[in-house]
Amino acid sequence: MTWGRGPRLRLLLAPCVGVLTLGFVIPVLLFLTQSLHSFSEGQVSTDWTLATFSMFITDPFFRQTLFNSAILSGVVTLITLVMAYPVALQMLYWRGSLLFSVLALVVFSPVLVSIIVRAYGWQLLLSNDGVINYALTQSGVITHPLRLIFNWTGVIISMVHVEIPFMMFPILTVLLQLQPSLRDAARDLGATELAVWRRVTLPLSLPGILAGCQIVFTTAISAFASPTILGGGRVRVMPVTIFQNIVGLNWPMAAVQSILLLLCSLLLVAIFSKVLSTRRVRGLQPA
Amino acid sequence: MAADASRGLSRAKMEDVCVPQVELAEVERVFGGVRAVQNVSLTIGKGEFFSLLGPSGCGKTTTLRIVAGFETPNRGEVRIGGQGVTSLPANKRPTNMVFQQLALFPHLSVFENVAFGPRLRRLGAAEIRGRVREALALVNLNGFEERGATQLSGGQQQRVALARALVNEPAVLLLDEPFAALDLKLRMQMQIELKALQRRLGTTFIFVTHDQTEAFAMSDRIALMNAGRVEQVGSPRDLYERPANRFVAEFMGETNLIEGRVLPGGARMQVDGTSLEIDLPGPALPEGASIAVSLRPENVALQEPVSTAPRLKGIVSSAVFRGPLARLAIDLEAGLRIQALVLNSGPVSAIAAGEVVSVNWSPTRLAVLQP
Repeated sequence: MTWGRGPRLRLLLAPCVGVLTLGFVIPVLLFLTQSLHSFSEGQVSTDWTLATFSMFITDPFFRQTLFNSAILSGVVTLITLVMAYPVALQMLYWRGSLLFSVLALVVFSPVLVSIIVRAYGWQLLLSNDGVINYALTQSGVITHPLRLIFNWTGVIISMVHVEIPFMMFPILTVLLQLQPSLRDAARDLGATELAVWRRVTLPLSLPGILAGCQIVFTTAISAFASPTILGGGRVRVMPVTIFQNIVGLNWPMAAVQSILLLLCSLLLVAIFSKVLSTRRVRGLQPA
Repeated sequence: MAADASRGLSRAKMEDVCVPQVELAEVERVFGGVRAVQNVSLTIGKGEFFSLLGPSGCGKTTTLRIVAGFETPNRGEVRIGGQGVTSLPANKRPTNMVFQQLALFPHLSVFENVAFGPRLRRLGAAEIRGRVREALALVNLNGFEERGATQLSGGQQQRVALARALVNEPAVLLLDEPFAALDLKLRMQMQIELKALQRRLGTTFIFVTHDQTEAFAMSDRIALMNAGRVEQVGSPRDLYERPANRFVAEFMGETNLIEGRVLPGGARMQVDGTSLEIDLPGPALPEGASIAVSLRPENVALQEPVSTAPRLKGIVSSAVFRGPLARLAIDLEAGLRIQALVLNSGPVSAIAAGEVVSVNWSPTRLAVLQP
């Protein structure tokens, strides 16, 4: 007997597949066909055309939006990685102790709070008369409040906060599966702590790093709440403009943008999966 | 401790190697209030194959890790090649280790696993290549350089682990139950190869095992450990034939433990609960002392007397066929039950339960145990 066999079990998939098909796949496909129409004077045309695609590609304004999205996601991914990795390493060394549990709770706490609440929370902290600027001006470090909100800085801060658990979790999972004796073996062969990290721990945590980057990049590129609430209209990224186009009834452009956003995510997932499947990295998968 | 008090002292002295390579002096290691290693003092000679033997939790692996530098002793001193290394970290010691879980680097090829040490020492590419080839040849693994280290069979992974340690030409090679995961046949083959390798290289090997037959097969000397202490140090024969105490006698193999009191004259004992009086070996013991002696079952002779000692009649209460040997439990008329091992190919064979036999043994085969 093996798991997952038997026609009766397959029958149980029907409700799930049905709901997804009727409620998600079909509407999305219908929406995406909108990309083959054009939009002018508040009207969606009925003829089939690639005009909206070419409009997106030729218009620097739209191109800039896609570029902004990619850069924002890339920057958020990078900052999140740099912040999360050392914490994951530290948690590895604290494995089994109370500190591990405390740190885990702190790191994963953002997940427990609604994304909207988190974004408004950051507004309270980062605005010109917010907690941070108040503390800095009162203590005399700065004379004028720093501009931390309604710009890229605020959006990045808020998004890094949102994404850290999603970077931490895959990395920590991989690190926790490493045999502690690998570290001993490297030490025994003459490695300093730094060399152990560079030659053993880092390459062996690559699958976790890649998985974390994949998750963070794809969720960041489609993030809507943080750029909207903390961007204050100044941070023009794809999800925000898609929303604006939908509100403005320009469904064809919203559909084109959605497709390009999806392609962007898929491309990245494909690249990362390719890297993950190379022999060198696959060998790292814990046995 | 108990170590030097054994009766095999003179022989152990003869085998003492002149140049000490590893010295442990009154080493102690405490884990959360538990003394994992207590007052361990050992001197291991250059080129010696030395085994740390004992049941799980006896402190043998901790002792090995203290030599490797993974554990710092709370008390005591470690010297390697005459140099104090007690506070030297593992990466600066002239030792290399083969781990129980092997700990091959799964992201590296066989070649890169073996080259790990030489690369850290920043040797030239040509020299690294040469050394790795040499080390792989030593363990008969040429041609596997480009394979993933963890894609090999258990025995081959074992060899990679060995080559990865030996390529660094350590002064002392430490082996922590490296053959535990192998099946019996492969394990016996690896034991023979490892011993041959050690002879050829002349490197000091310290081998940790819980299996006394494995220690017998390879060791020049064995330290038998129990509850963090060294019970006895000596050659395999010393430990087997002249165990210092009850623990050593029982750990090293099946044995008959016979308890009793020393009779006047100090050369005979009265066995407790029986009418049996038996001769004791060695120097006279204090009269009336309560003692125990160990008699290996293979030293119990049936039918053909092996000494002038009187033959004792008894009834075989059970006979178990064990291939080359038969294991008999014999109830002696005098009231003592003893175990005997007889060769099935010998003059006495096919003895069944219920048969009447007569046995004796040579008193020199008895080992008087410390209380």
